[in-house]
Amino acid sequence: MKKDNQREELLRVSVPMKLHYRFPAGSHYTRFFNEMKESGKIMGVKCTQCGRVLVPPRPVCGECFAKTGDWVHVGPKGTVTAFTSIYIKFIDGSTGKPRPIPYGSGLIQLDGAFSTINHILEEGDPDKLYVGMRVEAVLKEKREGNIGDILYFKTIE
Amino acid sequence: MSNRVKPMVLEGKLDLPFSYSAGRTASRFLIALRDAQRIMGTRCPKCRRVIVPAQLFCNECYIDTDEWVEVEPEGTLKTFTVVNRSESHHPREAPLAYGIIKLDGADTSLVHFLAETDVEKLQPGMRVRAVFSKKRMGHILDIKHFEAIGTGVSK
Repeated sequence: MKKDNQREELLRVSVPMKLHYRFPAGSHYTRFFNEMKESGKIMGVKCTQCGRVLVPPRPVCGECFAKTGDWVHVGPKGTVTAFTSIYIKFIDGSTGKPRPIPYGSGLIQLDGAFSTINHILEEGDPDKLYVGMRVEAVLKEKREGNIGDILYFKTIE
Repeated sequence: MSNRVKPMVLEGKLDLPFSYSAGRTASRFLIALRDAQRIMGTRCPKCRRVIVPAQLFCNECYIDTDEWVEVEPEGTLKTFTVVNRSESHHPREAPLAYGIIKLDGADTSLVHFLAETDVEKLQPGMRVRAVFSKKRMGHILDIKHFEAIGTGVSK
């Protein structure tokens, strides 16, 4: 278009999206969340072939394609295997609002687990975060049986 | 699994208050809808197509469009679908119908709502007309929907 010296009105188009969904948790996630809600304990499941403990628990081992068997308690302490610090506010889809910054996000290998889970870290300062850092899950008082029952991982030691 | 449990269903929700700046061309298109209830397109200087809604550039020729053209509020329904189940990502409650409409004077089609939601009463080639919303805010939904006109069918 040709340049126009007159000041023209420019619009911003609002496209709010509310996506509500239902996620059937299946047998393993159901037990995982029930246990967390009722006893505040985090559980994994052991592969019948390689012996790896998978957290969150799954019916089949991703490496062996063998069925998983025994249920075991893991954590609540664990080790950070990777992390990032978040300084830019962005929308947390679960609330529609940004979380207060800064905060950390990391992969945590819970004691007794082979796999890692991705969660919020209390420590958000990149100078204080390190791989190998020891952390512990902080659970809600009133738990509802979903991943939000773990509020964040606090630094220990 | 060792002991049977009743599988749970987790309720999830994503609230995304998204917005974008429409830019100069789409702003002018939306302002024409809002203030004058006029539907505007832009013409490509090379292929001469009239693109509706107005676009800054021709996506066939990759050159800027250079002329504004008003198109008719009436057009032909090319195709449609009827949604019978309400879902939160649809802006309206079911039943609702989406149509692809080629307005008279335009060379492209646009997607919009149809007033008629009975699949038996819709057919490609149907003639439709834009119905404007009473309260317009510079949004594509300043056109409320397209309603059927007459019973005529054109190709």
